[in-house]
Amino acid sequence: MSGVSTSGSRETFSGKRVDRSLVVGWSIMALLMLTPFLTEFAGGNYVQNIVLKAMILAIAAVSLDLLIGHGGLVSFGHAAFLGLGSYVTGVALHEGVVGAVPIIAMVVIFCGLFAMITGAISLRTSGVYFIMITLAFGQMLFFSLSSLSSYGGDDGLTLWDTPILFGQDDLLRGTGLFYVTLILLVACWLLVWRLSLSRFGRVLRAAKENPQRVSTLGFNIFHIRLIAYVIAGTLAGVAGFLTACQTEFISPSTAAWQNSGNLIIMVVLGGLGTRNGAVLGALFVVFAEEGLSLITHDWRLIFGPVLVLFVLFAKGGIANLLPNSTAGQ
Amino acid sequence: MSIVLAIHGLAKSFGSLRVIEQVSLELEDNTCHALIGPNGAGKSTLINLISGTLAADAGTIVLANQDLTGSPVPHRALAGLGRTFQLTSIIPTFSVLQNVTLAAQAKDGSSLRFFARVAEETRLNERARAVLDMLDLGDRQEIRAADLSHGEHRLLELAMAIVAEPKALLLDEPMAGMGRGESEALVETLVVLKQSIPMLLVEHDMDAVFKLADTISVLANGCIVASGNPDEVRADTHARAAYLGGGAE
Amino acid sequence: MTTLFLIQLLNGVQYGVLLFLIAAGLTLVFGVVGFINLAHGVQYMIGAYMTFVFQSITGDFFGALLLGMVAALILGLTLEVLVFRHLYERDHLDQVLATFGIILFVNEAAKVIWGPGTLTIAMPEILSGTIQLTDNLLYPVYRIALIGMGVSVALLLYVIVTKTRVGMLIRAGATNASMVSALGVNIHRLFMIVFGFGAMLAGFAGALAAPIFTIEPGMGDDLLIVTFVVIIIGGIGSIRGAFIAALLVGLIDTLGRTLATDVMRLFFDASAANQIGPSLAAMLIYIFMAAILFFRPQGLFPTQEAA
Repeated sequence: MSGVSTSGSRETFSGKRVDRSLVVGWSIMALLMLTPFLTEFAGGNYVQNIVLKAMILAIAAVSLDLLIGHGGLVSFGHAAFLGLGSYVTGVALHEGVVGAVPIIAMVVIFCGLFAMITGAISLRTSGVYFIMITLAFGQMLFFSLSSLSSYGGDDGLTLWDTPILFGQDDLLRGTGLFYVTLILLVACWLLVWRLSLSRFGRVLRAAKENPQRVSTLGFNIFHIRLIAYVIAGTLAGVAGFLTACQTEFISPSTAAWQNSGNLIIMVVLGGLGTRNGAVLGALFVVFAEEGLSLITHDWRLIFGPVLVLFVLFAKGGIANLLPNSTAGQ
Repeated sequence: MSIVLAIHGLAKSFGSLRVIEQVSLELEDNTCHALIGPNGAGKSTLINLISGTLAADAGTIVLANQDLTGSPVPHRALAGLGRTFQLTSIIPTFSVLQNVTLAAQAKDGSSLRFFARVAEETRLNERARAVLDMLDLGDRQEIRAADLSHGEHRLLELAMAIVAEPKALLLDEPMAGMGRGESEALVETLVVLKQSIPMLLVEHDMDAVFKLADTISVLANGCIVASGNPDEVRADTHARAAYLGGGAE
Repeated sequence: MTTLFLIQLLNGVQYGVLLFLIAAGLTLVFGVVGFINLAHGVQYMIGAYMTFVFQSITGDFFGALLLGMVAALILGLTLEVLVFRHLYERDHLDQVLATFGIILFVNEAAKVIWGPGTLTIAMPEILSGTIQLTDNLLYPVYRIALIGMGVSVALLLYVIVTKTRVGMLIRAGATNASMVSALGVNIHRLFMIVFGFGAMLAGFAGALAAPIFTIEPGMGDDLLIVTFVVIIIGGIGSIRGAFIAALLVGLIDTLGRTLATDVMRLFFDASAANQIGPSLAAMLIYIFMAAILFFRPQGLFPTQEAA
């Protein structure tokens, strides 16, 4: 009888299993869509901005889940793409390029290239080495951005313009930015979902569990992983673009390794390799940080041990706590 | 009879330890060439050298007139070399069917397809099901591979190797850990299979070997000490010395 | 001009020696225990802070240094017992997350206890002042002492690892921990020794660095990543590799920062060189790491497979 196997249900549509996670996913998206209306009554711009921040990081988290959850590639330098994307945006605006489309094109090119080069080197290793190398490359980018003295160096750069989309200069601001981000988030979420169900995704996931076998079957694992790495890096770069639009400020700290760690926390807390894990994780972490910081300035004193306890005792993540959701591994 | 797989002068050392020394053998079409020998003779190492998992220090490997010497593992697989592992090597969280369709996918066009759902590819599924039915695993196809019995694991291992229609098959102790009945069933299947896929078989189970093999080579201390048809080898003094002198069978 | 170069050369060696002290513990823990410890940087930081604390109480630097080391050791062992030992069998992702959580907590705690600002500690009297090395070259005594102490520790480690029984177990554990365990060695005691020793070395490094650098929350984190670069280049589990790689990284980074802009001036005009130079300098050690990895993914002196 079909529907018994957990991973099988992720691909074959055996009844209720996949539907549940889809329902949850689309519900989240619907809720996000209604947020600007809901915050009219409670919370106002403050809450809307937090949700926007969460959505932007969710895009980065979803792209990271492609690497960690589906590919088994623990990249500790993913924030580098956020930083690079935001800097390409900021520098372009600073230099007078204001069209959103050309800016995004540049973001894609720069992040894609960075991903291709660093990925080609990092993916020659695995395990602990891979984690450390991606960390090192992320740090490299952080220091490079910090040394750009004509773009603010350590202090960062305030952006006075907003990119122009479809001829409007307020589409990427305020509520407009909210909906553009939501559309991009849905697109990214759908993309990673379809990828995981495709031929490409199957090889990637198989290689996570048994790379030797996959190689012996005739697949070139390096190529597959590199492509995944470039896709993930580019998507995170787009999130960087959105970050610059939201904060109207670019800073090297976006690429800092602590930010990479934050992304990993989101993906793991949310549930690795699940349909909605990354999005849920991003929402949870952003709200938790905001909430805790309202209680105490030193919220990390609480967050740190909570994280440790989570790792020691709870596994699987939030997505697996939801009833009947498709289990991760 | 044409020669499908030709190994010549293969050698491998780990530091100063010579594990494989000047090994040459040939696999003819529609035959089973069995490789036997005492423990530690280097049989698994030899399989690893042929499949590319280990790099040889010297020697050549030619598959159906294609020189595979020095080629990386995936390249050899795509050229038509299939193998099974002594320790079952499958994808545990995939279903049985998914494991086999994955194997089929390797030689069925590009894997750089990002949007179509692979689970819906009828051709892959049909090929996989055909192989699974042949091995009597058909009704287990939706089961998670990790939940199979040991004997079923060995069959899945084999299914993954043959679904891609290899030109030659390397079997590393396919019967390892199987019970009597299961072994006999597998031998029957392999007897039929060797008509379409020539196989190089490493095995300890002598009953299976003598039932299946058209040619037998005896490997001891990294060298071939005897080679020929089963009767010849049975009578060969070097072969006997290797077994009686070299420890447990 | 060459005086400046010599000074930077010495600074590079000093930086390298400092990196080695931190890297030694890290590479041993990776190599023997198989544990990725992001919290190693906070050991360094605690060493610095505790030295500051004890120095304010006793007024004696060397005593404070010793106590700072002990404090780092205690912290390391506490963390090992409370958190780390439950994670040895887990995958690296779990270890990364847990140690990341520890970093968040300890850094924040440092901020709460000592404030977010920087602290300074006075250099001990006998080691302050400069020494005449050549006609034109005056170099701080303290930095020379640091180099000396670091090299001594390196030699001590070399002797321990190659000549003693514990060292042999460590080397064996770095290549195959389960085998060592199967031979009847109390592997958990070995792990604790390795952890403790590594923590102590990091604390020692922090204490030594305190008079030269400023003491602040998070001071260990960026340095930790450079240490990762060091052990990747040197090869995980190898003390010898860590020493050589640390010196290389220290020299390349220090000399690179000094020379990068000047070298760029050979190719570009002044204003472009002033832009590119610092950026390039910041990237140098990572480019170096990438280059090494391209040819030897396991590092210069690997003790085990790069996996």
